[in-house]
Amino acid sequence: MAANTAIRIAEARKVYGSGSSAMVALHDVDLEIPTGRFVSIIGPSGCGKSTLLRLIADLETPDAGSVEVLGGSAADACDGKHVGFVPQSPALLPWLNVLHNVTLPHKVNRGASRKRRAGAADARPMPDMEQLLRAVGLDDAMHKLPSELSGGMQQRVAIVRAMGLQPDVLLMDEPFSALDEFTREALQEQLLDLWDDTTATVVFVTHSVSEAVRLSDQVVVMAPRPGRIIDVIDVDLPRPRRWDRFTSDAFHHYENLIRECLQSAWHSPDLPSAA
Amino acid sequence: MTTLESSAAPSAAAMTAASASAREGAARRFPKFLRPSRWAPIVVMVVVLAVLWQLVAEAMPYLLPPLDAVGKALASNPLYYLENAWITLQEALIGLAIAFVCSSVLAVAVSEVPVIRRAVMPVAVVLNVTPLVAIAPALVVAFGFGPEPKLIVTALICFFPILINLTVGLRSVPTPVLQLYRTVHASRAELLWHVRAPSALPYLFAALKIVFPLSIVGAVVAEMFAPGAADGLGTAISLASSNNQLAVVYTSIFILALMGASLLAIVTAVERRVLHWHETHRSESE
Ligand SMILES: Nc1ncnc2c1ncn2[C@@H]1O[C@H](COP(=O)(O)OP(=O)(O)OP(=O)(O)O)[C@@H](O)[C@H]1O
Ligand SMILES: [Mg+2]
Repeated sequence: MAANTAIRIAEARKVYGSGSSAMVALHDVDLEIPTGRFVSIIGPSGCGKSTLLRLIADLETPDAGSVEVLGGSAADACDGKHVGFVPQSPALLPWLNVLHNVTLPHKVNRGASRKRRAGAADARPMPDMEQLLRAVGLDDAMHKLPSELSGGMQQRVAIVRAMGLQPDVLLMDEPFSALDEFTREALQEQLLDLWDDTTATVVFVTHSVSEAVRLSDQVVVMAPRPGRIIDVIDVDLPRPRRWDRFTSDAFHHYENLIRECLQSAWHSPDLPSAA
Repeated sequence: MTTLESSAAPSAAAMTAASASAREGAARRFPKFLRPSRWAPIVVMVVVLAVLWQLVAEAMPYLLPPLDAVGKALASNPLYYLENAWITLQEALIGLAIAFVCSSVLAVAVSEVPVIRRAVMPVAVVLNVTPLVAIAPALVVAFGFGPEPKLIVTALICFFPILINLTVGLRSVPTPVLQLYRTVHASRAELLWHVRAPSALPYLFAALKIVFPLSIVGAVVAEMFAPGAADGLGTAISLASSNNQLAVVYTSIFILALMGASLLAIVTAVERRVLHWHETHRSESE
């Protein structure tokens, strides 16, 4: 059963603070993500999208319920370097050039890398990071410092850094939200191209309805106060998805579906936050 | 541009354009620090100060010695000043090295262990603003006239600025970066070495720019309270002032100032090389 379910979250609950200032960030969240899927999480600000991602990344532990990643605990998945993480800001180290930035994750927790390469089941050679950088058009930037790059280039470096781990689960928290529309669309395309060559399961947090439809197999819609999942919408559009498809009726159909869902969440009465 | 420069056009606009292009030409011919706009202000300032000094020295000879007397004092016995300066410099640098090692170790402990941080930091902040040189006489009483009290005073006053800056620096890593390396389960040692320590470098250099000159202050003050038995420029100053040799006092002070400034210049030069990636050194337009 674990073979084709990458992420299984059951009745997960997360509360920040205590007493009267308690804030229910996640309320009884159930979610199953099959292996190899591209799943977007969308919802208004403060509905717990980042919190959900942090649970999967083992950066937080749920107060109740369970989080299972790749058939084990989230901690085990991270310990084996099976999880790639792209934060909202590129989080590059300013004193390392681009190449050193993307190779540093290989240099830490070496035991995991060795184990992975030795393990027969998922034995893979370490990817050629220079080639990966070239694939996203960073040939000339390889030996530059992050401060010499544009925001879009920095975000591409962050994606390559995560992809370079050849993760089984790739977690992305609004990676493109700070970029202009043109850069954003170019990066979306590059992300899909990179992802096509892998079997990674992607969880992608976004604020943009069209971005969610464009990228995903499945869109998880969340609502705030308390943070919860209100709907999961399958996006049945053919891949590869080229830009000319985004004017099609089917595309708009899904966009409208998600918008309606978000609207109803906005107008629905709040759940009692105490459960 | 050249035509504008050679033909003396009468209009004001042309004049400014010509002088601007002349300035650009000068910029291309000379390295930055040779341009008059660079060195002229400080030269004028030094000349003004020297003139003021001479005026005060003539009016109140008991306050300041004339500058030529200072020069003569130095010329008559340069070896005396050199030897004493070397002793003071050694005390200062050894004391500073002791402070650096101790405060670095403690800074790592403080930044890694919250309990230690809560215990140590309030005390460190208070001690950092306490004038610790004031304990110099007590240390001389306790440790005698050897090098110990000088090293202890120097190390003490250098310790807290380094500790506080390093602690802040080690904890200055942005949350997304920490989260990122936590998702690959980087060990604490790896995080410290690859991420926290380099992040702390700008803070360390800020501290070093304070404590290098400060180390000389520490050594000199400690020397002043143990005159006679030991050497050093601090001893030289207190001996000379009790003998009313104003020129010797000020010669020693000039040398101390020069030492402090040189140390600061060296730290700044090293910082420029090491922190070339840091935003304060990215744009060197001015
Ligand atoms: N470390 C924390 N301490 C206290 N409260 C927190 C913490 N992290 C998140 N919260 C609260 O939990 C709720 C959900 O936060 P979260 O960051 O998951 O929202 P989000 O959906 O990612 O929002 P956004 O779209 O603005 O990023 C918010 O109300 C927030 O105030
Ligand atoms: Mg968020």
